[in-house]
Amino acid sequence: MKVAAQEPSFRSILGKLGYVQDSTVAPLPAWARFYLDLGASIAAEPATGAYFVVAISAPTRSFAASLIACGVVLASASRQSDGATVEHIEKLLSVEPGKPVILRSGRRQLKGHYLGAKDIVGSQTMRGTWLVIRTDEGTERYVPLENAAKIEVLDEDSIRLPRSQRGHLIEPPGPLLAAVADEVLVATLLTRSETDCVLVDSAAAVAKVELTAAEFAIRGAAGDYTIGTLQELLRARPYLKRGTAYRAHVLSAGSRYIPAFASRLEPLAALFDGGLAYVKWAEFWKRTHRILVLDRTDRRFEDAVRLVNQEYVERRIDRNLDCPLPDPPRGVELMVFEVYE
Amino acid sequence: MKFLSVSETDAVYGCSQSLRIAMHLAQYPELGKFSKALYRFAGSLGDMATDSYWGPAMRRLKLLQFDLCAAPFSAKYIEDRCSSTVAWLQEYLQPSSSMYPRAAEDGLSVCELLEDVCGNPRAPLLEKLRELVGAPEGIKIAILIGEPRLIPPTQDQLRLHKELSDCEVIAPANLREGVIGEMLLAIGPPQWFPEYVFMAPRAPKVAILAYDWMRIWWKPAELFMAPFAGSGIVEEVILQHKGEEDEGIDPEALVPAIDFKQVFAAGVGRAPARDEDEAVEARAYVLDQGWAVLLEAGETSSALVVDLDENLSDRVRRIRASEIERGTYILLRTSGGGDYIVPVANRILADFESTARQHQRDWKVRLRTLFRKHGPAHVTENLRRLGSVRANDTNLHNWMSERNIRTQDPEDFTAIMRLIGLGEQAEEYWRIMGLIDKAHKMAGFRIRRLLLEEVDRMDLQGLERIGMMTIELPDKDAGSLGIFRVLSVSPTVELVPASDIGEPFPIEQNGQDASSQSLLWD
Repeated sequence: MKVAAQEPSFRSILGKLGYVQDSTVAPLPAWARFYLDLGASIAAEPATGAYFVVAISAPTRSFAASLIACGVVLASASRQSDGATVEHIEKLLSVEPGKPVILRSGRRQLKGHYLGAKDIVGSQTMRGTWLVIRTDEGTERYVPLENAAKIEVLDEDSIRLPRSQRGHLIEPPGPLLAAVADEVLVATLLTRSETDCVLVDSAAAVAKVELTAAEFAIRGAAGDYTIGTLQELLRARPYLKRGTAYRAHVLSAGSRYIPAFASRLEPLAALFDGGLAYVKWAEFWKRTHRILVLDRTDRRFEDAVRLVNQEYVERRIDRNLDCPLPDPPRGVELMVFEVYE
Repeated sequence: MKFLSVSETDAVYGCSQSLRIAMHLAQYPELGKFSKALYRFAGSLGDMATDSYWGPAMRRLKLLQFDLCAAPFSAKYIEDRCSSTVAWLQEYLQPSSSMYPRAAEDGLSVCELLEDVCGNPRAPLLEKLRELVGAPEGIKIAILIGEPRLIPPTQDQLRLHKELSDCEVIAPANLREGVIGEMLLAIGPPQWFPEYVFMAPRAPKVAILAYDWMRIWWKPAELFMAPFAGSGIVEEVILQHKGEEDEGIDPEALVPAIDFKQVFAAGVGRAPARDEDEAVEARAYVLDQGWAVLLEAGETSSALVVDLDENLSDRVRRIRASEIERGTYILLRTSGGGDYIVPVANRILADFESTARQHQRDWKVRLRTLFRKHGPAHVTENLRRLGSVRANDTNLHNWMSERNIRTQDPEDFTAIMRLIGLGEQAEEYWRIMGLIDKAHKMAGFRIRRLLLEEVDRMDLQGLERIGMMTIELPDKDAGSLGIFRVLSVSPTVELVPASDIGEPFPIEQNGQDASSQSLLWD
């Protein structure tokens, strides 16, 4: 997949996105397009030791973080090649033998134990490096290194394998995702788990409704509409079936387990939805782009503004921003600066 | 935070597209003269304005003045309230003529100006409101009151007028959701409202209604230090009215300040004193609707709070008292003593309750007796000598507290038992305290579960509007509970009897206005 060819593709389709209200479809408002574009613009910038801090003050936080997160995920996924990235291969090569994994084979998904990498030199047909997965008793599957993306390491320390395994069918893409993304992007989103985005939400219950219940739509060439939810694009892990590929995490700002998550998750962008989320947890994600969404009516609005202004004074890198960001709509104020880790 | 659909969200953005604030001014020169005189009188009293003699009079007058400016009351209400205040004041100030002749004279002059207000009872704010709502292009208006305490009486007043009966009366906290109507009319000067009322409006039209003798000024504050080029900041809006002859009163001066000295005084001595009562360091928390509570200030002190932003399962949780701040909703038992865990735990202990509590009292009374006799240094030193690892002043106070059950570490407990002459029974006491501890945990769990069920059924918008709500738990031992919004926390601590901790009390007593501490809510 070519980055330059892919990005405009999904961004232009997103421009046709609408939302469903009382059984009719209305075009996406300018503020909503702004948030999608903002997320995509930030994710399009590879982090090079310096990270963006984006502070947004909006009249309401509704849908802002959800849409930004979708922009981040779509842009990040479309940047990835359909093969294995160096990072993913390195991660697999460092995994201890016996670690539980998921292997995607065709339209099926199998559980397995990772046995390690094996170099085969003799055989003409098998020459090269293979990743070996045991999927049931007596069956070892050899996956070429370039298909490492089909293997996903699970969090569990151990799983029991069945005697024989047919595996589960990989879920088909949701209708909205199928309409927004091309085949390669769909495959990347459905088969590769990545942490593109961590959304720390001061009202996680509301984020869930925004992502999984609010209906959005794309108008097809024949004038018909394809309806779906933002979750199809975001693939937030808490709202997915276990074992399916995810691209984002949604964490409640009230959770006491956030430090543990922060030590494990290294997202491309961390989104803080609400002042509480930023005031409590911004310090935990320093090696990532950070986006703060503030609502002027937020109880912690002033605290968060003070904190982000302080960071601007103390830590900003004094140079011109080389990142084309969309112009915010009226009523939305924005501050963007760069910091080193 | 409530879910807003995309179209509801779009409506909120629509309200922010053009920021225009209309200013409607009402006339009531008699009230203006009274307010100016009261301001000058407070200045002439200086520090005496908050002393034990002048303090109650000044609080009552300032509160009356503020209320009449902050809500659209009827002429009858204004007349009645001013008359009763005049009568009370004339009687109250009688002794002052000999003690403070000059101040008494000034005070009576203020009283005469208040009589002028009674003599010309009008309702300019209410009349202006009727005019706005009744205009040919009449629109649906939501009325914004900065002080939640004044919302119920305002709603009652409006119900008496057919054209106003449909108007919703709301608090600034209600503006955190979607659009609330075609016009938002804030009663009072803009300085009395949080900035989001104007900068993130929840109606296409926003207006203020205030008296013309006030100095009105408002300008959006700067937000980010380096706004992004092209940032969608609304156009510069400045609202300005200088008041009569450039001598208008600064509205900030009209807001009654909280007098924590008086709050502590009102909170201490309500519960009957008991011999075993110890004094504990406490902070005063001023709550909405004229209530307050004293909570222990120690590091281990905690309180149950209701977090409206959280998911239902996490909405009721325990936090340290030191984390309670303005805007926190705390849960308090409104009758039968401040602790709602103890009665439920006692029922769990069943027949064993009396024995268990007797043992708990026994070792604490013995320890307190030694403490009073020999002082903290002597007791902690001896505890350490007897094997305690955590004996220090703070822990010693915690261990003596009625609210504490036992030490965390058995070694500390054994040392205490040995010191108070119960060394041989240390194991038995430890086991019994363990049973109490377990019963408290079970009670806490049960109450939390019941609370979550109640909170799920609650009108959270109503709670945000009024800042207080009572709930009855199905568990009869838990009694009546109240959820109160914290308005302010005392910056200092004071020693108060432990029996006064945790139960809310009205700040004003003795026949004064029931809920007199006014503090604009943001």
